[in-house]
Amino acid sequence: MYWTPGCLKGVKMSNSTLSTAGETSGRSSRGGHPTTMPAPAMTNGTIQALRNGETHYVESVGIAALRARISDWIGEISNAAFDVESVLVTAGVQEARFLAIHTLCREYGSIAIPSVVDPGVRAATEVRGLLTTEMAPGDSRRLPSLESIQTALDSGHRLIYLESPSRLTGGIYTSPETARIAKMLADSDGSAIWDQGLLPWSTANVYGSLIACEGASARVLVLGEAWPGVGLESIFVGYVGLHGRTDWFGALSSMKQMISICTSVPSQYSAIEAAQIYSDSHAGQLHALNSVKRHLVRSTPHLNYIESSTVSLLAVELDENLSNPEIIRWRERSRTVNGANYGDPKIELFVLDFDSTDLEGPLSELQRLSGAARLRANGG
Amino acid sequence: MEREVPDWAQLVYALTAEARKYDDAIVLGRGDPDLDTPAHVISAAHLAMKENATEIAPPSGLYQLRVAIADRVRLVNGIHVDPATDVVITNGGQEAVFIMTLAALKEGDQILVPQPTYGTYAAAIRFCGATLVGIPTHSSDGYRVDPNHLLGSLGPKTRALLHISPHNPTAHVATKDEIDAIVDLADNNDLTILSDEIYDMITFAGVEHNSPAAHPRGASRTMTLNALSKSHAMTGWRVGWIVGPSHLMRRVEALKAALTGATSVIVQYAALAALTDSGQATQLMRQEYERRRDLVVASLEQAGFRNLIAEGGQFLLIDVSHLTSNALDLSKMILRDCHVLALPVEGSAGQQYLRITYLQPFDILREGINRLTSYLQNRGDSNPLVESISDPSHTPRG
Repeated sequence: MYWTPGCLKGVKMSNSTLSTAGETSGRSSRGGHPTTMPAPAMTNGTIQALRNGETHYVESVGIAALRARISDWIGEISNAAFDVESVLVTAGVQEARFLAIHTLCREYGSIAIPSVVDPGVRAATEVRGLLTTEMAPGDSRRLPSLESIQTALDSGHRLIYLESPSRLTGGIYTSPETARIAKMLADSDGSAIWDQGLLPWSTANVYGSLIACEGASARVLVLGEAWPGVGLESIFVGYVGLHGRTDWFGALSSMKQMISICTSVPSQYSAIEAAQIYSDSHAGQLHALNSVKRHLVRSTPHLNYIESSTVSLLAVELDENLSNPEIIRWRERSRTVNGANYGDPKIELFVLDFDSTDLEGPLSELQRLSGAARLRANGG
Repeated sequence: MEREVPDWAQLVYALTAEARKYDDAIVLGRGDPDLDTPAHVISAAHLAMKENATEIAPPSGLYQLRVAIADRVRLVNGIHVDPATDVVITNGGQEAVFIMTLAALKEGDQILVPQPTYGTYAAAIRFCGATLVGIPTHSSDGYRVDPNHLLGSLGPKTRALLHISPHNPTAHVATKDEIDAIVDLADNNDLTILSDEIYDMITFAGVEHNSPAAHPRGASRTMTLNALSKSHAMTGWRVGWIVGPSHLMRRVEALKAALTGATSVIVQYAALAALTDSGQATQLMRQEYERRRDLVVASLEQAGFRNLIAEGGQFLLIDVSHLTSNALDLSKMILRDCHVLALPVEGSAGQQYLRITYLQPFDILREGINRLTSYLQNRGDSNPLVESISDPSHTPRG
C-alpha cells in the first residue's frame, strides 16, 4: 500500500540483515527513513520509460532531468543555490559517501569523522585504510562538539565529515553552531562533507545547512538521499551537491565512472517520478510521523529519549542499571538497531514508519525492564 | 585537485560526445547493445515495484537471486558456489570489476594483465595502489597468452592475474589449455585469479567458453565476475555479480557494503526473471550478433585485413599499425572524415588497433563498415604517416 493519510501498516521486512554497512542487528535502520510502497504514478512512469527503451548507459553524472530536479529540491531544503552542473546522482547515499570521502581525501590526505556516525562512514574510510581522526560528541545529540571540530582542524586535518541531522539521534546543529563551523573552516582553509540526508524529516523551524553559510559554499559538499518516504528506500538514489567546485565535480564524476559507469536507469526514472509525489505528500507524512513519535514518547514516559526535531526516528539512551543479558534478551525479541556500530552502544535506534504501533510493545517492555533495574539498583 | 582518470572511460565519453555532432554518425564504439531488454524482464520489474519495493536486501543481494546465480554459474560455467556465502550481487559489471580488484590487491602488489586489456582495470588497479604488469599478446598468434611470458613476469610482489574471456577488446576466447596453464601458474605461485566472463554467453563458430573457477585447482583462488548487461541487453539496469571462494567473498561483501550497500531491489527482481527465463532471448541475441560479426569479418577480410580474431564478445580489433603510430589520432580522423566511431586501442608493445563493435542494426553496421574500410583502404594507398590532429574540427569527408 502506498502512503496516503491514514493508511494501514504495509512495510514488508525481509529477514535479511546488514542492510547498511556495518549493521549487525536484525532490524534495519534504512538510513533512518520511513518507507512506503511506490505510488502507481511512480511505478507506471518508471516502467513506461523502460518500455520506451530507456535501458542503456546514461551519463555517469546522472540523467539531466533528474539532476535538475535534485538541484532545485536540495536548494530549497538547504536554502542555498546549487548549480545543476554540480549535482551528481549516486546509487544511494552510501555511494555518495564513498565518492565524497575518497575523492576529497585524495586532496586533503586525511579526514576527521564523528566518533558517533553512520557505520557506512567508517566502512568507506576503511577501504584503502584512509587516515582518520575522530571528533568527540559534546552533548546528548551525539554530534561532534565545536571544540572537537576545532581540535581536529588545529591538528592539521583539513577535511571533516559531519551529519546534521545525526543518523543515530536525529540531533541537528543550530544555525549559530553551523555558522561557527563555517568560520572554523574558513580560518583553517578546511572543507567539509555534510550529510543532510535526514533533513527532510526535521521539523525544526530553522535549519542551517553548512553550504548556505556565508563564505562556506565553496568548502562544502552536501550529500543525502533523494526524496525519502515515497518508496525509493530500497531503490537507492542519492546525490552529491556542490557549489562552484568544478575541480571536485570533475574528480567525483571520474571516480563514479570508474566505480559503476552510471546509476541504474530504472532507479533514476523512479526518482524523477518520486519528485512530484514527494512534493504532494511530504507535509502530510511529516505530520503523521510527528504524531506517531509523540504517541510513542507519551506512552513510555520514563524512557530516556534523546530529544530531536527529526520525526523519522526515536533514540533511547539505555538505563545504566540494565544488565547486559537483559538488554540482549530484549533486543532479540525487539529487533532494534543498536548504536554500537554508530559508536555508542548505549543508544537504541528506532526507525519510525507512518503507523509504527509495532514499536509500542518493545518500548513498553524496555520501560518495564528499566524501571525494574532502577528499583534493584536503589535496593528495592 | 588530482582526478582519478579512468583513461578508457574518459576516451569513450569524449569520442562518443564528439560523434553526436554528426547527424549521420555511425557509432561502433561503446559496448552498449542496441537490442532491447527482453519484455518479460521489464514486466518483472513492474511486478516488483507493485509488490516488493519495500523489501530490504543485504549488501550481498536477495537470497533468491544469489541462488539463481549459483545455479547459473554451475550450469553455464561449471562453477560450484554456496549462494549463502559465495555470491555477491553488484551494481553492474563495472562495480564488480572495481570490487574484485580491490578485494585481491593492496598497495604495493603487482598484477599480471594480458594486453591490450579493458581500459578501466588500470584505473581500479591504480586506486588500490598496486601496479599493472602488462603481458603482451599479438594478433599474429590469436592474442593467446604465452605462459612463458607470464612466468617471466612473476616477481615477489605478484599477487594476482587478470583473465578476461571472451576477451575485451581482442575477442579471443581462452582455450582449455590456456586455462590449465593459467591455473597452474596461479596455483604454483599462490596467485588470485580475477576472471571477467561478462561475454561468456556470446561465443561464435562453436568456440567453447571455459572458466578457471571450474578447474579443480582454480576454484579456491578464483573470483569470477559477470553481469546481465551484455547477455540480456541490460546495460542501463546495472546488475552483475561476483562469485568465488568464501574466504575471498567475505572481503567482497564487506567492500560492497562500503561502496554502495545493497543493489536496487527492483533491479534484483528483474535480474531474477532474466536468469530464470528460458534462455531464448539470449540465444536470439547471440544469433543476431553472430550474423553481424560474420558481416564485419567478411567486409574487413575483403578490404585486406588479416588475423581477425572474432571468437566471442560484441566487437573485434583490427590492427592498424601499418597505417598509423597513433590509433587515437586515426580514430579522430575517421570520425571527422567519414563520421564513423571506432575506438582506439594500444597494445603493450606499441601496436595500434581500432575496436569495432557489432552493436548497430545490420544495415547501419554494413554502412559503417563500408565507410570505414573505404577510408582505411584509401589511407593505406596514400602516405601512411599520420597527420597530427591538434584541431579535430570538421572537414569534408575524403
